[in-house]
Amino acid sequence: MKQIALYGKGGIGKSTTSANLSAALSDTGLDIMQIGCDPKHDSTRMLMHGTWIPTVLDLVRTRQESEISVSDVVHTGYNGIRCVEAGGPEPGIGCAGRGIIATFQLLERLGALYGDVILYDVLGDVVCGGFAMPMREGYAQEVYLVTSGDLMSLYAANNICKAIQRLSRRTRTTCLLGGVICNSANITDEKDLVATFARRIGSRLITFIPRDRIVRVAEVNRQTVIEYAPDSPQSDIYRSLAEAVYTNDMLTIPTPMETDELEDLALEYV
Amino acid sequence: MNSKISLSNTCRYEGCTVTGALAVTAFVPDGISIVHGPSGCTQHNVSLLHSTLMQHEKPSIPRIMTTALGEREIIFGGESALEKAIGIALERSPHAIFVISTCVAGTIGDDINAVCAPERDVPVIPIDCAGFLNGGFRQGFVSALIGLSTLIGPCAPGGDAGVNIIGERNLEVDAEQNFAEVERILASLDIPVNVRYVRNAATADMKRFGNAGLNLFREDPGGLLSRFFAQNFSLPAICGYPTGPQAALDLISRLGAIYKTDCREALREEEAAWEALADDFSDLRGLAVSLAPDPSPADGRAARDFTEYFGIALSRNAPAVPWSDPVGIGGARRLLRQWRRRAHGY
Ligand SMILES: Nc1ncnc2c1ncn2[C@@H]1O[C@H](COP(=O)(O)OP(=O)(O)O)[C@@H](O)[C@H]1O
Ligand SMILES: [Mg+2]
Repeated sequence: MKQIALYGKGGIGKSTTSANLSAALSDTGLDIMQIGCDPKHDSTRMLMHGTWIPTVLDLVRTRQESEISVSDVVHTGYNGIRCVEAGGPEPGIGCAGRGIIATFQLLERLGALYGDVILYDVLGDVVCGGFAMPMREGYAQEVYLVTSGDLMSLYAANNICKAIQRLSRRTRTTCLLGGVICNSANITDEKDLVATFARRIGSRLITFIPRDRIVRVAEVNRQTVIEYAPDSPQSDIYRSLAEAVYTNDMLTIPTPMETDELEDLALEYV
Repeated sequence: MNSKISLSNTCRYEGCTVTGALAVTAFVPDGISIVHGPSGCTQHNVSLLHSTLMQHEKPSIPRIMTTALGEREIIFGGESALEKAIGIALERSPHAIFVISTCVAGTIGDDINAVCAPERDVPVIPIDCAGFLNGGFRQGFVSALIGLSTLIGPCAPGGDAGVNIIGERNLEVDAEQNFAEVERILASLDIPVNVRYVRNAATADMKRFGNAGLNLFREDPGGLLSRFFAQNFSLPAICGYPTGPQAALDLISRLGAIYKTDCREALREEEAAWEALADDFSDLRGLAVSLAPDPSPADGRAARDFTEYFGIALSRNAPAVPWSDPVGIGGARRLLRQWRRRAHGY
């Protein structure tokens, strides 16, 4: 079983990329599970054809744990992909990080974590220990950073490197950086910039995903691009991403950049 | 940031912040204390209070509730659990409710001030006791005394209804005897005690706080308490119960000055009483002792004066005897008896 996590700044395209990646992997006959680890809980929505599935924490809030079964939390979407949303507290109260931990513990107890690939779609500003949970022992072994050439999203990606590096010092941790996915924001020389960033942190650019109108068209049709426009060039990109991720064996402990180094790098590409 | 390494800092005032707050709020008989945290925080503290109060003459069981925060409340926030607990507390018709937060409530950012703010039939007073914010027992104790000051009514300027006793060490076995010592000294000048803030004082009693002519603080190491009460209630203040004859005489002189009464008779009586005590323990003259625990720098002077008065020598290598800043003549007698047992075995 391969377990991977996508991390990146909010709004950068993690969920879009995750859902299309899951869809493309599942089209090759693999058994896929996708877990949204963001209080926004819209990770699997396109896989579920626009349905908002109940989140694990919605159930935890309203029921005794003994009354929660696998079928309450795991919902089957496109091509049999098993979809889970962690959810979270209302904005401005409680502790979302603890919510992620509770979600994982519940899925563990329910025996719900299985398949050929489990994909965790995680909020990218690793604000506290709870959001590093998917990187801990027994969960994702590979992290992919989703970023554009925008400085703020590179900054967030760099911070996640710090978390991976910290965890890698633990003897029992097996989580490493699998690579960088550039989800384009139509910035000049963006591919070069992100590839350079990837090299500088001791990794590589896995795939460059262009910004394409078809993504939004598929979205308003409540589908992934893979499902809505399987023959589009964008679908080819997601399929090649799936291939690259599935066969990836270049995993590294990242070396995060200093903030001023990062700023200098961004400056070179303005 | 709290960078303390705990082991080297375990002394009596660095215990749990919640315990410090409860050492005040649990002594308001018509109040209810709600500890906003996991039930263990309450259980632990209640059993400690219980076993401590059992040593006292009249144990009363204080009303303490928990909001019993669990994983669900940690994730989704504990504010509604607190609201519910306040509702339950109100049904029991207390005259005040004290909401004591804990480390975990502080960590998830529950806003206890906001939950306590709406107008209710009785005052609901928040006391922040997230211990990780650098505070320990003493911090909780002081925060509670400050928090409860909202129960105090308006001040009558020029009041002379007696002395407020502030911040008694309620968990101490000697609390009542120590108070009696101070009360005796006040009585020698015909000054009554006004409010014991807060030891078995009902909320209505606290309203009379402002009628006093003086605040007498049991102790005030950081000056935090006296500063607060000086800013908010313009009453003269004296800090610290007296240890040893000189401190007792000083207290009488200062009281005399503040209350503008002739204290010469009281001074003579006090002096005579100490001399009588010294006679009673004349067998200890010439004894050499070391003190354990070592008195704090602030107490060092008092300890030296004390031993000197009784003709006892302080010597680092001499056998150790207990030291606990004894209050007045009664406290001195109890301590000297212990020393006698150590020295002579009777
Ligand atoms: N490659 C792309 N081309 C065009 N639009 C995109 C692309 N990737 C993401 N988007 C759009 O960006 C928005 C945010 O993406 P989303 O996946 O929800 O971000 P995240 O999960 O990181 O918060 C979505 O509305 C999505 O349609
Ligand atoms: Mg998302």
